Amino acid sequence: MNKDLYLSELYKYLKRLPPDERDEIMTDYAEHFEQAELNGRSEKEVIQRLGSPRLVAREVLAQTQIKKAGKSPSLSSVTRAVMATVSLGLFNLIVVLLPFVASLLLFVGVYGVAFFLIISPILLFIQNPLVSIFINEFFLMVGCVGIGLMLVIGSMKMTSVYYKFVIRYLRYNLSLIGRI
Amino acid sequence: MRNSRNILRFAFVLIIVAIIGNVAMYLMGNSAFNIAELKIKKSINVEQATGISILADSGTVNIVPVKGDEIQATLQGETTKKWIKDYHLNVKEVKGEINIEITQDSRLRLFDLYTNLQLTVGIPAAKMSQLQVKTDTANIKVDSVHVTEYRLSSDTGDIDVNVTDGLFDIKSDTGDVALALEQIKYEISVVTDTGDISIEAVQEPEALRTKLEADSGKINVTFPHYKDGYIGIGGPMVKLISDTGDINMGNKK
Repeated sequence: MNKDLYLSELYKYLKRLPPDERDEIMTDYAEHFEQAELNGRSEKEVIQRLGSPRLVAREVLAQTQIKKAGKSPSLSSVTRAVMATVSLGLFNLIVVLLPFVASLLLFVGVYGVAFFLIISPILLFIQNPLVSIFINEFFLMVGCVGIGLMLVIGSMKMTSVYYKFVIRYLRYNLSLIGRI
Repeated sequence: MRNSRNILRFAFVLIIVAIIGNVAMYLMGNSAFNIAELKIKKSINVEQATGISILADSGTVNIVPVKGDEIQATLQGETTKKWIKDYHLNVKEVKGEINIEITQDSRLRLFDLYTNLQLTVGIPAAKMSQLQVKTDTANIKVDSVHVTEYRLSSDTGDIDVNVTDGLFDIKSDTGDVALALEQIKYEISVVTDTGDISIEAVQEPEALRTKLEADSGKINVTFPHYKDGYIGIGGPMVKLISDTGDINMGNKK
Protein backbone atom coordinates (compact mmCIF):
# COMPACT_ATOMS: atom_id res chain seq x y z
CA MET A 1 0.00 0.00 0.00
CA ASN A 2 1.33 3.44 -0.89
CA LYS A 3 0.60 6.88 0.58
CA ASP A 4 -2.18 7.76 -1.91
CA LEU A 5 -4.02 4.48 -1.44
CA TYR A 6 -3.64 4.79 2.36
CA LEU A 7 -5.02 8.32 2.38
CA SER A 8 -7.91 7.47 0.05
CA GLU A 9 -8.88 4.53 2.26
CA LEU A 10 -8.66 6.71 5.35
CA TYR A 11 -10.85 9.29 3.59
CA LYS A 12 -13.41 6.59 2.86
CA TYR A 13 -13.55 5.45 6.50
CA LEU A 14 -13.92 9.03 7.73
CA LYS A 15 -17.03 9.66 5.63
CA ARG A 16 -19.19 9.89 8.75
CA LEU A 17 -17.43 13.10 9.76
CA PRO A 18 -18.58 16.54 8.54
CA PRO A 19 -16.62 17.54 5.37
CA ASP A 20 -14.63 20.38 7.00
CA GLU A 21 -13.50 18.16 9.91
CA ARG A 22 -12.62 15.35 7.54
CA ASP A 23 -10.60 17.66 5.28
CA GLU A 24 -8.72 19.00 8.29
CA ILE A 25 -7.79 15.51 9.44
CA MET A 26 -6.79 14.45 5.91
CA THR A 27 -4.49 17.51 5.66
CA ASP A 28 -2.90 16.54 9.00
CA TYR A 29 -2.18 13.03 7.80
CA ALA A 30 -0.86 14.22 4.39
CA GLU A 31 1.47 16.60 6.25
CA HIS A 32 2.53 13.73 8.49
CA PHE A 33 3.62 11.75 5.40
CA GLU A 34 5.46 14.76 3.92
CA GLN A 35 7.26 15.44 7.20
CA ALA A 36 8.30 11.80 7.48
CA GLU A 37 9.63 11.83 3.92
CA LEU A 38 11.71 14.94 4.70
CA ASN A 39 13.15 13.08 7.69
CA GLY A 40 14.21 10.26 5.38
CA ARG A 41 11.53 7.70 6.24
CA SER A 42 9.85 5.71 3.51
CA GLU A 43 6.07 5.60 2.93
CA LYS A 44 6.04 1.96 3.96
CA GLU A 45 7.64 2.79 7.31
CA VAL A 46 5.12 5.55 7.97
CA ILE A 47 2.19 3.30 7.08
CA GLN A 48 3.55 0.54 9.30
CA ARG A 49 3.85 2.99 12.16
CA LEU A 50 0.39 4.47 11.72
CA GLY A 51 -1.43 1.14 11.46
CA SER A 52 -4.31 0.20 9.18
CA PRO A 53 -6.47 3.07 7.84
CA ARG A 54 -9.57 1.47 9.36
CA LEU A 55 -8.06 1.45 12.85
CA VAL A 56 -6.76 5.01 12.46
CA ALA A 57 -10.21 6.11 11.29
CA ARG A 58 -11.86 4.45 14.30
CA GLU A 59 -9.50 6.24 16.67
CA VAL A 60 -10.12 9.55 14.92
CA LEU A 61 -13.88 9.02 15.07
CA ALA A 62 -13.69 8.11 18.77
CA GLN A 63 -11.58 11.22 19.48
CA THR A 64 -14.06 13.39 17.58
CA GLN A 65 -17.07 11.94 19.40
CA ILE A 66 -15.34 12.37 22.79
CA LYS A 67 -14.47 15.96 21.89
CA LYS A 68 -18.09 16.65 20.88
CA ALA A 69 -19.42 15.03 24.07
CA GLY A 70 -16.97 17.14 26.09
CA LYS A 71 -18.28 20.32 24.47
CA SER A 72 -21.96 19.58 24.92
CA PRO A 73 -22.47 16.59 27.23
CA SER A 74 -25.83 14.88 26.82
CA LEU A 75 -27.07 11.30 26.93
CA SER A 76 -26.91 10.94 23.14
CA SER A 77 -23.47 12.57 22.70
CA VAL A 78 -21.95 10.59 25.60
CA THR A 79 -23.50 7.35 24.30
CA ARG A 80 -22.08 8.03 20.82
CA ALA A 81 -18.63 8.64 22.35
CA VAL A 82 -18.91 5.41 24.35
CA MET A 83 -19.94 3.40 21.28
CA ALA A 84 -17.11 4.90 19.21
CA THR A 85 -14.62 3.94 21.95
CA VAL A 86 -16.10 0.44 22.21
CA SER A 87 -15.52 -0.05 18.46
CA LEU A 88 -11.75 0.21 19.08
CA GLY A 89 -11.48 -3.23 20.56
CA LEU A 90 -13.28 -6.15 22.15
CA PHE A 91 -11.64 -5.38 25.49
CA ASN A 92 -13.58 -2.10 25.62
CA LEU A 93 -16.82 -4.07 25.68
CA ILE A 94 -15.90 -5.08 29.22
CA VAL A 95 -14.07 -2.02 30.52
CA VAL A 96 -16.22 0.63 28.82
CA LEU A 97 -19.61 -0.62 27.68
CA LEU A 98 -20.53 -2.83 30.64
CA PRO A 99 -19.79 -0.21 33.36
CA PHE A 100 -21.53 2.43 31.24
CA VAL A 101 -24.70 0.35 30.82
CA ALA A 102 -24.68 -0.65 34.51
CA SER A 103 -24.28 2.93 35.73
CA LEU A 104 -26.90 4.12 33.26
CA LEU A 105 -29.37 1.57 34.65
CA LEU A 106 -28.62 2.87 38.15
CA PHE A 107 -29.51 6.37 37.02
CA VAL A 108 -32.68 5.10 35.35
CA GLY A 109 -33.59 3.47 38.69
CA VAL A 110 -33.03 6.69 40.65
CA TYR A 111 -35.05 8.73 38.14
CA GLY A 112 -37.75 6.04 38.26
CA VAL A 113 -37.99 6.29 42.07
CA ALA A 114 -38.12 10.09 41.82
CA PHE A 115 -40.90 9.89 39.23
CA PHE A 116 -42.82 7.40 41.40
CA LEU A 117 -42.56 9.72 44.41
CA ILE A 118 -43.68 12.77 42.43
CA ILE A 119 -46.76 11.04 41.05
CA SER A 120 -47.48 9.31 44.39
CA PRO A 121 -50.61 11.43 45.11
CA ILE A 122 -52.15 10.17 41.86
CA LEU A 123 -51.21 6.58 42.72
CA LEU A 124 -52.65 7.00 46.20
CA PHE A 125 -55.89 8.27 44.77
CA ILE A 126 -56.05 5.23 42.46
CA GLN A 127 -55.35 2.98 45.45
CA ASN A 128 -57.79 4.69 47.81
CA PRO A 129 -60.53 6.63 46.06
CA LEU A 130 -62.01 7.31 49.50
CA VAL A 131 -61.42 10.95 50.43
CA SER A 132 -61.04 10.13 54.16
CA ILE A 133 -58.07 7.85 53.58
CA PHE A 134 -56.60 10.29 51.10
CA ILE A 135 -56.74 13.05 53.74
CA ASN A 136 -55.04 10.78 56.33
CA GLU A 137 -52.15 10.22 53.95
CA PHE A 138 -52.07 13.72 52.50
CA PHE A 139 -48.98 14.78 54.44
CA LEU A 140 -47.15 11.57 53.56
CA MET A 141 -47.77 12.32 49.89
CA VAL A 142 -46.60 15.93 50.35
CA GLY A 143 -43.35 14.55 51.77
CA CYS A 144 -43.04 12.03 48.93
CA VAL A 145 -43.44 14.78 46.32
CA GLY A 146 -40.84 16.92 48.15
CA ILE A 147 -38.33 14.07 48.31
CA GLY A 148 -39.07 13.19 44.67
CA LEU A 149 -38.35 16.75 43.53
CA MET A 150 -35.12 16.85 45.55
CA LEU A 151 -34.12 13.52 44.07
CA VAL A 152 -34.75 14.81 40.52
CA ILE A 153 -32.63 17.94 41.06
CA GLY A 154 -29.90 15.92 42.80
CA SER A 155 -29.94 13.32 40.05
CA MET A 156 -29.71 15.98 37.34
CA LYS A 157 -26.65 17.46 39.01
CA MET A 158 -25.16 13.99 39.48
CA THR A 159 -25.85 13.21 35.81
CA SER A 160 -23.78 16.17 34.58
CA VAL A 161 -20.93 15.17 36.93
CA TYR A 162 -21.29 11.61 35.66
CA TYR A 163 -21.08 12.70 32.01
CA LYS A 164 -17.85 14.57 32.76
CA PHE A 165 -16.48 11.51 34.53
CA VAL A 166 -17.39 9.24 31.58
CA ILE A 167 -15.71 11.60 29.10
CA ARG A 168 -12.54 11.72 31.23
CA TYR A 169 -12.56 7.95 31.46
CA LEU A 170 -12.98 7.62 27.68
CA ARG A 171 -10.06 10.01 27.11
CA TYR A 172 -7.96 7.95 29.51
CA ASN A 173 -9.02 4.77 27.73
CA LEU A 174 -8.10 6.25 24.35
CA SER A 175 -4.69 7.37 25.60
CA LEU A 176 -4.12 3.89 27.01
CA ILE A 177 -5.00 2.30 23.66
CA GLY A 178 -2.69 4.79 21.90
CA ARG A 179 0.19 3.67 24.11
CA ILE A 180 -0.47 0.01 23.33
CA MET B 1 -29.94 27.06 37.60
CA ARG B 2 -32.42 29.51 39.07
CA ASN B 3 -35.29 27.16 38.30
CA SER B 4 -33.61 24.27 40.07
CA ARG B 5 -32.98 26.47 43.13
CA ASN B 6 -36.67 27.40 43.20
CA ILE B 7 -37.67 23.74 42.86
CA LEU B 8 -35.29 22.81 45.69
CA ARG B 9 -36.81 25.52 47.89
CA PHE B 10 -40.30 24.30 47.04
CA ALA B 11 -39.29 20.68 47.78
CA PHE B 12 -37.77 21.74 51.09
CA VAL B 13 -40.99 23.54 52.09
CA LEU B 14 -43.03 20.45 51.13
CA ILE B 15 -40.84 18.22 53.30
CA ILE B 16 -41.13 20.58 56.29
CA VAL B 17 -44.93 20.73 55.84
CA ALA B 18 -44.99 16.93 55.55
CA ILE B 19 -42.99 16.45 58.76
CA ILE B 20 -45.19 18.86 60.76
CA GLY B 21 -48.39 17.42 59.25
CA ASN B 22 -47.39 13.81 59.86
CA VAL B 23 -46.37 14.50 63.47
CA ALA B 24 -49.75 16.19 64.09
CA MET B 25 -51.64 13.34 62.40
CA TYR B 26 -49.60 10.77 64.32
CA LEU B 27 -50.53 12.41 67.62
CA MET B 28 -54.17 12.33 66.51
CA GLY B 29 -53.71 8.63 65.69
CA ASN B 30 -54.55 8.97 62.01
CA SER B 31 -51.26 9.15 60.16
CA ALA B 32 -49.83 6.59 57.77
CA PHE B 33 -47.27 5.80 60.46
CA ASN B 34 -49.73 4.70 63.13
CA ILE B 35 -49.37 0.97 63.73
CA ALA B 36 -52.18 -1.19 65.11
CA GLU B 37 -52.37 -4.75 66.36
CA LEU B 38 -54.37 -7.33 64.50
CA LYS B 39 -55.69 -10.56 65.94
CA ILE B 40 -58.25 -12.78 64.26
CA LYS B 41 -58.93 -16.22 65.70
CA LYS B 42 -61.04 -18.91 64.08
CA SER B 43 -61.49 -22.60 64.68
CA ILE B 44 -63.18 -25.48 62.90
CA ASN B 45 -64.02 -29.03 63.88
CA VAL B 46 -61.73 -31.57 62.34
CA GLU B 47 -63.90 -34.70 62.67
CA GLN B 48 -64.78 -35.04 58.98
CA ALA B 49 -61.61 -33.47 57.60
CA THR B 50 -58.76 -35.44 56.15
CA GLY B 51 -56.53 -32.66 54.87
CA ILE B 52 -55.66 -29.00 55.31
CA SER B 53 -54.84 -26.43 52.68
CA ILE B 54 -53.33 -23.10 53.73
CA LEU B 55 -52.88 -20.10 51.45
CA ALA B 56 -50.95 -17.03 52.57
CA ASP B 57 -49.06 -14.35 50.66
CA SER B 58 -46.67 -12.83 53.15
CA GLY B 59 -45.58 -13.01 56.78
CA THR B 60 -44.99 -16.35 58.46
CA VAL B 61 -47.09 -19.51 58.56
CA ASN B 62 -46.56 -21.64 61.66
CA ILE B 63 -48.05 -25.11 61.90
CA VAL B 64 -48.11 -26.40 65.46
CA PRO B 65 -49.85 -29.25 67.34
CA VAL B 66 -52.82 -28.51 69.63
CA LYS B 67 -54.98 -30.52 72.00
CA GLY B 68 -58.63 -31.24 71.27
CA ASP B 69 -60.36 -31.92 67.98
CA GLU B 70 -60.45 -28.46 66.44
CA ILE B 71 -58.13 -26.81 63.99
CA GLN B 72 -57.32 -23.38 65.35
CA ALA B 73 -56.17 -20.64 63.03
CA THR B 74 -54.87 -17.36 64.45
CA LEU B 75 -53.80 -14.44 62.35
CA GLN B 76 -51.94 -11.91 64.45
CA GLY B 77 -49.36 -9.20 64.11
CA GLU B 78 -49.05 -5.53 63.38
CA THR B 79 -49.93 -3.40 60.42
CA THR B 80 -50.59 0.25 59.65
CA LYS B 81 -53.89 1.36 61.10
CA LYS B 82 -55.67 1.94 57.82
CA TRP B 83 -55.04 -1.63 56.64
CA ILE B 84 -56.32 -3.29 59.83
CA LYS B 85 -59.79 -3.98 58.39
CA ASP B 86 -58.32 -5.03 55.09
CA TYR B 87 -57.29 -8.49 56.31
CA HIS B 88 -59.63 -11.45 56.63
CA LEU B 89 -59.04 -14.97 57.78
CA ASN B 90 -61.23 -17.47 55.99
CA VAL B 91 -61.56 -20.95 57.47
CA LYS B 92 -63.94 -23.41 55.86
CA GLU B 93 -64.37 -27.08 55.05
CA VAL B 94 -64.70 -28.08 51.42
CA LYS B 95 -65.24 -31.76 50.63
CA GLY B 96 -63.38 -33.02 53.65
CA GLU B 97 -60.53 -30.55 53.33
CA ILE B 98 -60.03 -27.60 55.64
CA ASN B 99 -59.19 -24.47 53.67
CA ILE B 100 -57.47 -21.66 55.53
CA GLU B 101 -56.76 -18.51 53.61
CA ILE B 102 -55.69 -14.96 54.38
CA THR B 103 -57.43 -12.54 52.05
CA GLN B 104 -57.09 -8.81 51.52
CA ASP B 105 -59.80 -6.48 50.26
CA SER B 106 -57.45 -4.17 48.40
CA ARG B 107 -55.74 -5.69 45.43
CA LEU B 108 -53.55 -2.71 44.67
CA ARG B 109 -51.35 -1.78 47.62
CA LEU B 110 -48.67 0.73 46.75
CA PHE B 111 -48.22 2.39 50.12
CA ASP B 112 -47.87 -0.02 53.01
CA LEU B 113 -45.30 1.31 55.43
CA TYR B 114 -45.30 -1.61 57.88
CA THR B 115 -46.96 -5.01 58.05
CA ASN B 116 -45.77 -8.00 60.03
CA LEU B 117 -48.31 -10.79 60.25
CA GLN B 118 -48.12 -14.35 61.41
CA LEU B 119 -50.61 -17.11 60.78
CA THR B 120 -50.50 -19.87 63.36
CA VAL B 121 -52.45 -23.01 62.56
CA GLY B 122 -52.90 -25.51 65.38
CA ILE B 123 -53.54 -29.05 64.22
CA PRO B 124 -55.03 -31.63 66.62
CA ALA B 125 -52.99 -34.69 67.51
CA ALA B 126 -55.26 -36.93 65.39
CA LYS B 127 -53.26 -37.79 62.33
CA MET B 128 -54.43 -36.08 59.14
CA SER B 129 -53.69 -37.35 55.69
CA GLN B 130 -52.49 -34.20 53.98
CA LEU B 131 -51.14 -30.76 54.84
CA GLN B 132 -50.88 -28.34 51.96
CA VAL B 133 -49.39 -24.88 52.41
CA LYS B 134 -48.81 -22.40 49.61
CA THR B 135 -47.25 -18.95 50.09
CA ASP B 136 -45.63 -16.19 48.03
CA THR B 137 -43.13 -14.57 50.38
CA ALA B 138 -44.21 -16.05 53.70
CA ASN B 139 -41.94 -18.43 55.57
CA ILE B 140 -43.45 -21.80 56.45
CA LYS B 141 -42.66 -23.48 59.78
CA VAL B 142 -44.09 -26.88 60.61
CA ASP B 143 -43.36 -28.19 64.06
CA SER B 144 -44.24 -31.52 65.73
CA VAL B 145 -47.50 -32.22 63.89
CA HIS B 146 -48.62 -35.60 62.56
CA VAL B 147 -49.58 -35.63 58.93
CA THR B 148 -49.06 -38.40 56.38
CA GLU B 149 -48.31 -36.18 53.40
CA TYR B 150 -46.82 -32.69 53.34
CA ARG B 151 -47.17 -30.51 50.24
CA LEU B 152 -45.42 -27.22 50.90
CA SER B 153 -44.52 -24.51 48.41
CA SER B 154 -43.25 -20.97 48.62
CA ASP B 155 -41.79 -18.51 46.12
CA THR B 156 -39.32 -16.68 48.32
CA GLY B 157 -40.07 -17.87 51.86
CA ASP B 158 -37.97 -20.37 53.80
CA ILE B 159 -39.51 -23.72 54.68
CA ASP B 160 -38.61 -25.33 58.03
CA VAL B 161 -40.10 -28.66 59.01
CA ASN B 162 -39.46 -30.46 62.28
CA VAL B 163 -41.60 -33.61 62.45
CA THR B 164 -41.26 -37.35 62.98
CA ASP B 165 -41.66 -38.56 59.41
CA GLY B 166 -43.90 -38.23 56.39
CA LEU B 167 -44.14 -38.06 52.65
CA PHE B 168 -42.85 -34.70 51.43
CA ASP B 169 -43.38 -32.77 48.23
CA ILE B 170 -41.71 -29.38 48.65
CA LYS B 171 -41.10 -26.62 46.13
CA SER B 172 -39.33 -23.31 46.64
CA ASP B 173 -37.85 -20.71 44.30
CA THR B 174 -35.39 -18.76 46.42
CA GLY B 175 -36.21 -19.88 49.95
CA ASP B 176 -34.14 -22.45 51.85
CA VAL B 177 -35.69 -25.78 52.78
CA ALA B 178 -34.73 -27.57 56.00
CA LEU B 179 -36.26 -30.88 57.09
CA ALA B 180 -35.42 -32.23 60.55
CA LEU B 181 -36.96 -35.69 60.89
CA GLU B 182 -36.93 -38.59 63.28
CA GLN B 183 -36.56 -40.98 60.37
CA ILE B 184 -36.77 -41.06 56.60
CA LYS B 185 -39.64 -43.48 56.12
CA TYR B 186 -41.40 -42.28 52.96
CA GLU B 187 -40.49 -40.55 49.73
CA ILE B 188 -39.14 -37.03 49.85
CA SER B 189 -39.07 -34.62 46.92
CA VAL B 190 -37.60 -31.11 47.29
CA VAL B 191 -37.05 -28.78 44.34
CA THR B 192 -35.57 -25.27 44.64
CA ASP B 193 -34.10 -22.74 42.26
CA THR B 194 -31.58 -20.95 44.48
CA GLY B 195 -32.52 -22.13 47.96
CA ASP B 196 -30.32 -24.52 49.95
CA ILE B 197 -31.76 -27.92 50.88
CA SER B 198 -30.98 -29.65 54.15
CA ILE B 199 -32.37 -33.02 55.29
CA GLU B 200 -31.49 -34.34 58.74
CA ALA B 201 -32.71 -37.54 60.40
CA VAL B 202 -32.12 -38.81 63.93
CA GLN B 203 -32.24 -42.45 62.87
CA GLU B 204 -29.69 -43.53 60.38
CA PRO B 205 -31.57 -44.93 57.34
CA GLU B 206 -31.08 -48.63 56.73
CA ALA B 207 -32.10 -48.39 53.11
CA LEU B 208 -32.38 -45.31 50.92
CA ARG B 209 -32.33 -44.34 47.27
CA THR B 210 -31.37 -40.82 46.27
CA LYS B 211 -31.45 -38.55 43.25
CA LEU B 212 -29.45 -35.44 44.10
CA GLU B 213 -28.92 -32.69 41.55
CA ALA B 214 -27.27 -29.30 42.10
CA ASP B 215 -26.13 -27.39 39.01
CA SER B 216 -23.71 -25.03 40.72
CA GLY B 217 -24.31 -25.86 44.39
CA LYS B 218 -22.43 -28.37 46.51
CA ILE B 219 -23.78 -31.79 47.45
CA ASN B 220 -22.80 -33.26 50.79
CA VAL B 221 -24.17 -36.51 52.26
CA THR B 222 -22.82 -37.59 55.64
CA PHE B 223 -25.03 -40.63 56.30
CA PRO B 224 -22.83 -43.64 57.09
CA HIS B 225 -22.81 -46.41 54.47
CA TYR B 226 -23.95 -43.99 51.77
CA LYS B 227 -22.41 -44.95 48.48
CA ASP B 228 -23.23 -44.05 44.85
CA GLY B 229 -26.64 -42.66 45.75
CA TYR B 230 -27.77 -45.64 47.85
CA ILE B 231 -27.83 -46.97 51.37
CA GLY B 232 -28.58 -50.71 51.43
CA ILE B 233 -31.16 -52.06 48.99
CA GLY B 234 -34.49 -50.40 48.21
CA GLY B 235 -35.87 -47.95 50.72
CA PRO B 236 -37.68 -44.66 50.12
CA MET B 237 -36.63 -42.39 47.28
CA VAL B 238 -35.19 -38.99 48.26
CA LYS B 239 -35.15 -36.58 45.32
CA LEU B 240 -33.42 -33.26 46.01
CA ILE B 241 -32.93 -30.85 43.12
CA SER B 242 -31.54 -27.33 43.22
CA ASP B 243 -30.12 -25.04 40.52
CA THR B 244 -27.70 -22.98 42.57
CA GLY B 245 -28.39 -24.03 46.16
CA ASP B 246 -26.35 -26.47 48.25
CA ILE B 247 -27.71 -29.89 49.21
CA ASN B 248 -26.91 -31.43 52.59
CA MET B 249 -28.09 -34.76 54.00
CA GLY B 250 -27.01 -36.33 57.23
CA ASN B 251 -27.71 -37.36 60.80
CA LYS B 252 -29.46 -34.91 63.10
CA LYS B 253 -27.08 -33.85 65.84
